[in-house]
Amino acid sequence: MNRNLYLNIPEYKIFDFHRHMANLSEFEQNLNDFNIGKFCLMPTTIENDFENISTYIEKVKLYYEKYKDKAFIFGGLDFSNDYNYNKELLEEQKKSVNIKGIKLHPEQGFELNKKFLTPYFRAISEVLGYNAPIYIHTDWPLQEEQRYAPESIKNTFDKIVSSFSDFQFIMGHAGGSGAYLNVWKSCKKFSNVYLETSMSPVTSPLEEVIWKIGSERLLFGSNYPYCATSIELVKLQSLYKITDEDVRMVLESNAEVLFSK
Amino acid sequence: MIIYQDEEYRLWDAHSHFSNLVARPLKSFLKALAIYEVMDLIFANWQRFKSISEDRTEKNVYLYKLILDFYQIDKAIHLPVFKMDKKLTYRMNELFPQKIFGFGYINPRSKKLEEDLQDLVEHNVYGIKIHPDIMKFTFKSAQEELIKILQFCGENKIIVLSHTGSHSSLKNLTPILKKCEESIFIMGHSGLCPQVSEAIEVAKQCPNSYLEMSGNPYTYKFIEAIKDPDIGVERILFGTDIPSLHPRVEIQKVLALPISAEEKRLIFSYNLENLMKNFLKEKYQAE
Repeated sequence: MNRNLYLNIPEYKIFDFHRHMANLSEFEQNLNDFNIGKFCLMPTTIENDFENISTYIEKVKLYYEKYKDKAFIFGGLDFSNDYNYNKELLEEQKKSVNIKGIKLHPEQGFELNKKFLTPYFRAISEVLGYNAPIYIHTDWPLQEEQRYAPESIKNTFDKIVSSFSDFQFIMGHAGGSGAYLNVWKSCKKFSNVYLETSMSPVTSPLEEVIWKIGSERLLFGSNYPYCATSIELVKLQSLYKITDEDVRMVLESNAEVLFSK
Repeated sequence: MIIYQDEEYRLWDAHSHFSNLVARPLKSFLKALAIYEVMDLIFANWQRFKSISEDRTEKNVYLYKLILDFYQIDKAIHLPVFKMDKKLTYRMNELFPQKIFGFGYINPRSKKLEEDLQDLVEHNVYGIKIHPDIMKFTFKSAQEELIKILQFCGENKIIVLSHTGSHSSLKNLTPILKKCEESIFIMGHSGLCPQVSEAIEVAKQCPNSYLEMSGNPYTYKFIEAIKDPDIGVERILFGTDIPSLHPRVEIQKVLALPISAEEKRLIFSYNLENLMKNFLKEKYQAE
């Protein structure tokens, strides 16, 4: 791979683990421009998707039908409702767009304790099984009472993972803008944790994951259309002391392996 | 200077750091502050630069310049990380006045605030850096001191740059900037992910504020700011946050914007140059 200053579009097809809906023609253009072969499509707080999951599913149907072989749709939960409601909601999502995983966002306001989360994870296991990836956005909302200090991964993401060790978890944005340091430790502690790279501001923590744990734990994400795909690609291509084969695994094959489990 | 798709872009970095903490025994500590590529660059050149000067501060100035050159950065604002780095930043201004704009250090919580402010004037600095986390203040709790600092800086032609995005709410910044309209305030990181919307709101309401891009991945928000008639491309600044972030990624953030090459040139260098020329006036010497 060319290690020039600038973007290098790979010849192989990229698997983009984190995208959102956009203007459809621009979405299509972006797939073509960056040689993206497959992608995960996720709900977002920016479009209020979590406030009404059924509406999100209606919107995402268009993508599901257009990109049947390419799109891996992620669904959501409604934490204001109980187990029975969510089981039905998950069944509806599976039936409509064949959801492959679930995205959780801290702004959904779920409690960070096992007792609260257990019924929801039970519903996921019953509808999708244990292998369906659970994607958790990292960058918890800042709180005034904590002087707007970022929440640690240990007190948030790791806490959920340790409570539900049978599932596969994706650390969305690899710690985000506030908790990106030492994310390799979560990978070391939990063999069922993967990191998605979009919006992660610093390259060194991603390098550490590859050096200390292995490149198979990183998944490339673009966070299109909110972030520029080229920036996210340049970030991967700027990683230091990383082989081309490692970069290729992150861009192309790791997500395939995860979904084949 | 970089060339991309046949267009030349000068790189003027509005956000970079170095510290006198750099020393071999502290390599493990520095991992939290610097990317590995930069650390290897520093330590690979350690012995060579030792021969340039026995003075640690002077040697660090040359090491910092080496990093800027490595990433093709033409000129850069240097922001001290810790109080001990004041000496470093002043030395940079002496050694490379055409390339490095060393900012001073002010802690709004300092018991010797008056004295510290006078020190800035004596050293004729272009600006200062403040940091809510490192200096343990918020825009709310230190409002009085910040107004005092900003008014002083406005009168004495000193730019103020603050870390934004964590450790303080940006909602409390607007009333401060409105009371100090003669000052110039750069929002480092443009509020990062958690407070990017608040940073844009500050920029809309306060024409004396600038959005600096380093560490902020939200391209769509910068497009929003550029299109906003109350902000515009002229108030967006390129920054790398060297040595913590990777300059290639930060450069790509500007290249990826759906704007003209001329507008990219503004962000990469001309906005900062114009700001310095217009605000600092005769104090600005880096021609």
